[in-house]
Amino acid sequence: MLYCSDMEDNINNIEQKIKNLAEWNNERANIKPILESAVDYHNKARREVYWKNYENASKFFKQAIEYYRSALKLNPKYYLQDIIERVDFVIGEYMNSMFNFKISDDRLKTEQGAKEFVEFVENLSPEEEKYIDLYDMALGYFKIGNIYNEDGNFDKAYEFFNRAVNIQCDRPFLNRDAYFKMGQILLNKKRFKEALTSFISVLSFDKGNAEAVNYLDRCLKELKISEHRFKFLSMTPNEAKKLIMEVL
Amino acid sequence: MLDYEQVFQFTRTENISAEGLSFASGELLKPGVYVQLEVDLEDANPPISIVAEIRWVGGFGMDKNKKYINGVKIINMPLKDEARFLKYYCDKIIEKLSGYLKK
Repeated sequence: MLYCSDMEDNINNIEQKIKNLAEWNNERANIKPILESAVDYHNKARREVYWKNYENASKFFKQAIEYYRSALKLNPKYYLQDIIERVDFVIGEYMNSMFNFKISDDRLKTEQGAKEFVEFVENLSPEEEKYIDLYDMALGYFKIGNIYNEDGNFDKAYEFFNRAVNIQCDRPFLNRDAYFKMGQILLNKKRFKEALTSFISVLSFDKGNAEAVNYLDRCLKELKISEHRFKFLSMTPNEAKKLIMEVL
Repeated sequence: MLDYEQVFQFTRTENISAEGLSFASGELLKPGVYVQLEVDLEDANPPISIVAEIRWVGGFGMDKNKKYINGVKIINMPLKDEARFLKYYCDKIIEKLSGYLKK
């Protein structure tokens, strides 16, 4: 009896496998031509990205996305995982390409270009943010800050240097430079306490920065707290903030 | 949601993928435990039935109601439900891709 039941199970199993194989063949026949077109456009887009032709790349990425979408409309069962992985790649590369377009050439040097960059970054969903390198994002803000700084629009420059450090991209030299510029702006505005904290932030990334130490001394002199110089020089920015509150 | 101890709980699913999903629960479910989930796809049909295994459990996070976040891997579901789930999932990705065509 047990033998018969086993045999029946095996037959059912084989029948199921044959059914699955037929289903797979059918799905493959329908999906393969669509996937081939999607992959073809995806590769064309990659070639355009390589040559930094981001606008052309966007057109090809969109066509690839259109084909992946058509493939998904067939509700694939066996090809689903493969398509999902490809979709993840195409979205990531497309977002990267669009980002690179926004920072390419001299776009960030124009008011409109800077505006478009900010809009693009601010509209990224948390899922999309993972596709963009935080350093590139921070560098974009830093460049815009520099342009405003050179134009004498210090409030705007400060805003963008601040955005650059808030990205927390883990590149000490970028944070150092951004804090340095913020410190200079604050010093010129006679906001000595905040300038002092900015220069201490610079020193937290670059301990021996002579220029930052000079500016720090100027701040201490203006605030008339030069006697605390050595304490400040060995402090973290947060500790410095506390000490400023205590001594002033 | 109905787990192996026949405890009913209504909750909201998050992060549905082809292989799994996550949901919040009031009590701690240990990784490795199998749960029977009834998932409403909001397609005007009865919920689909999924057997899933708890793979990870997250803390309360920002949830004020102090619920655990459970990540499950789908182990099995009836064939009729599989087709509906597949369609639901593909529609979600299609909707997402359509957004990129407008950019």
